[in-house]
Amino acid sequence: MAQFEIHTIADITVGGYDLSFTNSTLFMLVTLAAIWVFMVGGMRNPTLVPGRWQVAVESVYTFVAGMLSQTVGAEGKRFIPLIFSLFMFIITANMLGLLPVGFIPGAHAFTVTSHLSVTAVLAIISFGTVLAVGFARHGLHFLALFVPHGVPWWMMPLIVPVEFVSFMIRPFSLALRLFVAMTAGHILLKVLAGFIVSMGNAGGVLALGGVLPLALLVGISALEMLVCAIQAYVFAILTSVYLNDAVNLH
Amino acid sequence: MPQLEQLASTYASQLFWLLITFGILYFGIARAMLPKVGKVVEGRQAKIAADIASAEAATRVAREAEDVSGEGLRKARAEAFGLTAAAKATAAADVAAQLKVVDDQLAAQAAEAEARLAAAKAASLTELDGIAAETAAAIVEKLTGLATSPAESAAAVAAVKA
Repeated sequence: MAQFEIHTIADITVGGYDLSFTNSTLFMLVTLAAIWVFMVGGMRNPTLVPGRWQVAVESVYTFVAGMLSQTVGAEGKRFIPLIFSLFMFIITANMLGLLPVGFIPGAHAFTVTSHLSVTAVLAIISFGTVLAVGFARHGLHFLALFVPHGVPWWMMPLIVPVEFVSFMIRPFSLALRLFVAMTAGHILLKVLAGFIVSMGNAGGVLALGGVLPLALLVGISALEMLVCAIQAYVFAILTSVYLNDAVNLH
Repeated sequence: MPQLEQLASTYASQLFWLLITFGILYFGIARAMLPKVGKVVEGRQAKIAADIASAEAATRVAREAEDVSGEGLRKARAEAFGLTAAAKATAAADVAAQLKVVDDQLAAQAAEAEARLAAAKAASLTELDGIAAETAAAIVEKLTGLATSPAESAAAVAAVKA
């Protein structure tokens, strides 16, 4: 559990609020820097026939743009920066948390997205955009989202509250899904790694048995990288789908 | 779980720094750089589409030119066939006419020669009768010592011949 602890690196207090620079802050900035390097490196001098790096940057762009055009349609183009930011921030933060920086004495990897406070803010950004876009485009008519088509009138007292709850639960599911996936994956990796160490300490034949959890750990690490990518994808595509509700009100 | 235990003490810092980093990411990277990426990607797609369109147009032009040249070729070939056929026909007629002239000449010569031959044969046959009569008269005279008149010997020859 120590891997999830937030340590203060530099104390900053503004107006009674503790805005300290923490290890979490550090990894947010590393995430930002990594994305910046990725983008600038790929787009330094774009050419008609792209190099490898440029292809990587362009493929992220076309991935996000394709996702939005599939879910929202032509109008989804406006949300490319938002979905790109969410996707890149989550996938980069997830991956950085898996980096074996523990080799450096005193350094510990920290997964920004394993914190509910972070995933909640990301979910609020996503949900808030949906609300803002929905009410800006449709005004109060946006509330018609809770009234599905083709439902008989006498079902409305039941359907409308259900629709409303399912709508309001979206930010929570967005935040909790990412938070739980990252936390659970990291705990699993830590537990398996703990097995290796304790079996090694046991000595003798048991020390050789440590090979088993090591092999498992390698496999689970690969799986965990897949989870990192999938969680970022899920967050991005769900935000796109919710934006579609706001833009093209059924 | 530190995420929940530390929530109260760290939420302000987490929120503050996340908003700053996410703000920089959104405004400084995504909104600032993505349009450029989009322009590059779309420019490439437009260029590829334009290149394909021009290649298709060039193919169409080439196909039309091919059709035109094929038509010309076919016409020229037909014309050439006609010309050679006509030339062949005239040459054949020429040859036939010349052959006919030569044939006629040869036939005339042959007929003439035949006629001459028949005349000569007839002449020599009549001469032969005279010679036979004379010879017969001479033989008779030698054997018998009797003189025969030419008319008698001629009659005798004619009797023998008959």
